[in-house]
Amino acid sequence: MTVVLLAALARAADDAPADTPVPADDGHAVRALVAAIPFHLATPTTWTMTASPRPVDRGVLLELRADPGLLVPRDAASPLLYVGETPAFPFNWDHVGGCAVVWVPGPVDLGSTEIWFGSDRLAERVDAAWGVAERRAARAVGVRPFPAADVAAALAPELSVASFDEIEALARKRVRACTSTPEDLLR
Amino acid sequence: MFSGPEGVNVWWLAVIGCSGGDPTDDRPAPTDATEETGTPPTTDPACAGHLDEAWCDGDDAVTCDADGRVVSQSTCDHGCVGGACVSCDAVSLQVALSNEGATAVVEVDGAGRRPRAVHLTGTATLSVDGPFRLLRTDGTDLPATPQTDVDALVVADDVGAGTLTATVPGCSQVTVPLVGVPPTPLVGQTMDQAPWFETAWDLFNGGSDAQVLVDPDRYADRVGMTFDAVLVPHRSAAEWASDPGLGSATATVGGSVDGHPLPVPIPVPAAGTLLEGWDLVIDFGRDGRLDPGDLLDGLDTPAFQAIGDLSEPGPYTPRRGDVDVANDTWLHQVVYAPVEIGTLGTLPLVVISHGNGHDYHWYDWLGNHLASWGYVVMSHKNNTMPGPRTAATTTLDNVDYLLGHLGTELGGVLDGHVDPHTQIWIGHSRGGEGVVLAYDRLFRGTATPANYDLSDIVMVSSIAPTIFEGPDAADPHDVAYHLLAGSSDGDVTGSVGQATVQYFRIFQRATGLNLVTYVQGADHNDFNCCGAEDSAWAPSQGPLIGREAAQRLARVYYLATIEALVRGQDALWEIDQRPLDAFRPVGIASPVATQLKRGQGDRKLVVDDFQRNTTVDLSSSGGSVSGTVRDLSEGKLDDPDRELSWRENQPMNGMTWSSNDADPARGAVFGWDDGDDVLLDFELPAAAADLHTASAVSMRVCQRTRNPSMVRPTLDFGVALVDGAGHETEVPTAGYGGVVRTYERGGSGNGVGWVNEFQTLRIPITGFVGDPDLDLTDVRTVRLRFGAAHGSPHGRVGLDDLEILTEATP
Repeated sequence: MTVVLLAALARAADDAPADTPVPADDGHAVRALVAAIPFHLATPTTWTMTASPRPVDRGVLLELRADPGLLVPRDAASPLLYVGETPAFPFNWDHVGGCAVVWVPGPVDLGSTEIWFGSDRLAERVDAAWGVAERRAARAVGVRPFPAADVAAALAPELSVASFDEIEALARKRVRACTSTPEDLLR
Repeated sequence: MFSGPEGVNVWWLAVIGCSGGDPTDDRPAPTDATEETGTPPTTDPACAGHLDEAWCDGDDAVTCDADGRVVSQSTCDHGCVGGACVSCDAVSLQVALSNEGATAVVEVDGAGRRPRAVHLTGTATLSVDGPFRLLRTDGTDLPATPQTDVDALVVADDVGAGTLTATVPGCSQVTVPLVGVPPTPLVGQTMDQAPWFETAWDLFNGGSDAQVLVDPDRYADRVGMTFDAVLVPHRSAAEWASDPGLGSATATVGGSVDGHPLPVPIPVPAAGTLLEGWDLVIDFGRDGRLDPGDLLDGLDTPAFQAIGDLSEPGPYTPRRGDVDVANDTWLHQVVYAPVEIGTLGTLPLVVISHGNGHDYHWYDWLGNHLASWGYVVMSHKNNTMPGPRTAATTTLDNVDYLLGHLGTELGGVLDGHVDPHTQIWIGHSRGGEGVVLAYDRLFRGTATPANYDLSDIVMVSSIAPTIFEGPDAADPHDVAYHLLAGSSDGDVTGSVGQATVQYFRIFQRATGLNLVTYVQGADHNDFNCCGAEDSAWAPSQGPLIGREAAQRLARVYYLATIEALVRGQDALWEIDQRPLDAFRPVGIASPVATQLKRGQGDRKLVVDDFQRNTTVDLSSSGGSVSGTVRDLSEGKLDDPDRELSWRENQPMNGMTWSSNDADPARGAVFGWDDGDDVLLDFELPAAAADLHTASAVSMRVCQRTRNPSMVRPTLDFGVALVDGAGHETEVPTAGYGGVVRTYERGGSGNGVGWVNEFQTLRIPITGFVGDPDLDLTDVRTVRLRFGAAHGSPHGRVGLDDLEILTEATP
């Protein structure tokens, strides 16, 4: 964990974003897929973890176990958690226990989608081409999707809710249940 | 000696803005004996209107009986007063509260509010020459006619010498020499070096001692006299006029005007509110009232202002409430406002935009504080995870929402009580960059909110901001910009190795009033309630101050800065501009490097900002630069190798004010070694040679990190002015605050010491005026002197923004 963290911080110390993605993770930092809850929103929300914000009405809420060293809340550049070609939006930073509750727009086929910590480029600068490049770089270092059995065990039926408020409430509930970091309970 | 006229009115204190011109319109009706009375004519014309009376008919003394006949009439040799000839008996002339035979000192006041009382014994005609006027005690002109046993007042309209004369034609003449001097502050602080006593500052901590000095050279006519120095809550001139009594003064100390300057300490009362103004009376009569001849420091403005602990809550009770917009992820706010808001009119709006991984509920420490001092504070949920541009959008939207819903949110309690035209935006980390980006969007017109515009934002403040977008976008333009950062930040470290955290680049780009509060020992999350202990993320730290101390300090600086900016409490600028070793406000224990830089063109002459004329021998203002300091170099304030190990041949080590930026910050560096006595001269432009109305010499100085000549805790040197005749007056910086050593943090190369901490040093012009040989109207050179004779025996420093400031603070 320490090696991964220091490597990530060393990258963060670079002056400018790299021209090509360098994953912070070789496929071992995201350790478990605990839950995957697809959802549908009657009222769309805006997806902002991208260079081109857009309204979305589907997504998936994920609960993961990951290297706590990569779940440190930072304002300086730090590695983003990617789900396929998309940076995930985090609801918490459990840098003590390693629980990560995040969401990405859906639908997502988790059986074929890698989840890993990518480069430290700001999400608002991530366009489609960069997302593809991140994923290619991750595959090159050995990042693979979770096994089908893990996905099947984690996957819940799709939720249909009125608005993203309900997804946030659900996410907070899961954070409260899983986090070991006190400040996660204060958000 | 007499103590002055008893019971005279104090009209002189009530006259505000009066030029001292012809006061005859307000005079009492004349009572001269020659006034017509309407008495029927008598057989003797000389007694017409003077039945049974002795009177003066010009120089003739005439005595009439009840029937109008002349009893006697004679021509006087020395004038006639009251129907009798003036005798040549001796007359005497005394100036109250002045030593016999001394030159009487009269303080200049165009409205005649600082008179000296005089008393004529005997009969004579009083006159003055020079810049003086003679008045009756009621304020009317004293006629140039013989007077007997009269009290009068002398006022000075300008500086200069003159005389007061009592003349008896053909016989005696008594003369008292006069000198008009400008009033001078009497309250100040002593120093261990020249100028020994400084009166330029207005702010004192309640509970501390101020010093009172009646300069025996200036007030030579008072030498040997005793006095009571009395502090009185500040009064206007009209209030002094209606009540010249000193009342139950809060502080009184006895003193005397000795042959050499001897300040008297006087305790500064504790401040019960934000600022409490005090006047000081030197009561020579020791009679508990302000009389002519007593000295008053504080007629138009207080002699000084006392502050309490600005980190403590203010007079109002803060209340907080949540604003939550359903089905909108980012319109969520907590609003802090005084419970008493309904009685407080409209209040400025302070906006807080948190950083990444933070929460908008984590700023009670600041929201409650500012609400208790009469502000409405809104802290909003901030979408920082995508980056600061997205955060900027969240700030713009939340402010717009609140201002558009004041009548409905929180039960409407804010309706009519928020001043949308006085907004202060504070952001933390990515939110700190976000508020600058948001301002830039308003500036460029790429954001056009419905309920406010660019002109409504009066200050932007960033706490440890990122600068992902670079200074071309993170540009405060000309709004007042404040930066608060900590040396122990484990996240937005300010490091030389990471351009996106070199927040001083934002300061460098700002063109308006520009402030930095750099706190040694504070980390990133010390400025919220609950973030992670990020100081531990760095490989080694110097002393840490912890969250409580950091927030206490931040409350002081925020309250002082905002009150100064939006409520005109100018004295509070001193908190931002005086180094802590010269003035340490209550509530601040840790080292802080502060900078306060006026905006471009704002009442200052930039002698050298190093941005133009980039050779070392030419200043940006076009004057020559020369000197004997070691290794003088000028260049970009941009550490070239991105690490902090000390190398003599790398002059810009530790500089983080640019990072490959267009229009980079530039400055100079140099040094001196043990045994050196060296200088650096900056020639002033000819048009700027007259400094007699200037307020200060200002510069930004830093010690260069990890240099083996680091001076702990602070480095000092000398600042001198050299006039056209070559006369030089030097003032050590030591009395005005030294240059702090860099924070002793490890990492980023060998050694300890973090990035270079520029701080503003200001030497008030008052520091130089004590030398009468210096011609402040013809200053040709600002000279910086280095070496043991002038301060620290060795050092390696950076220098930027050498300026001459005009007018008062900030």
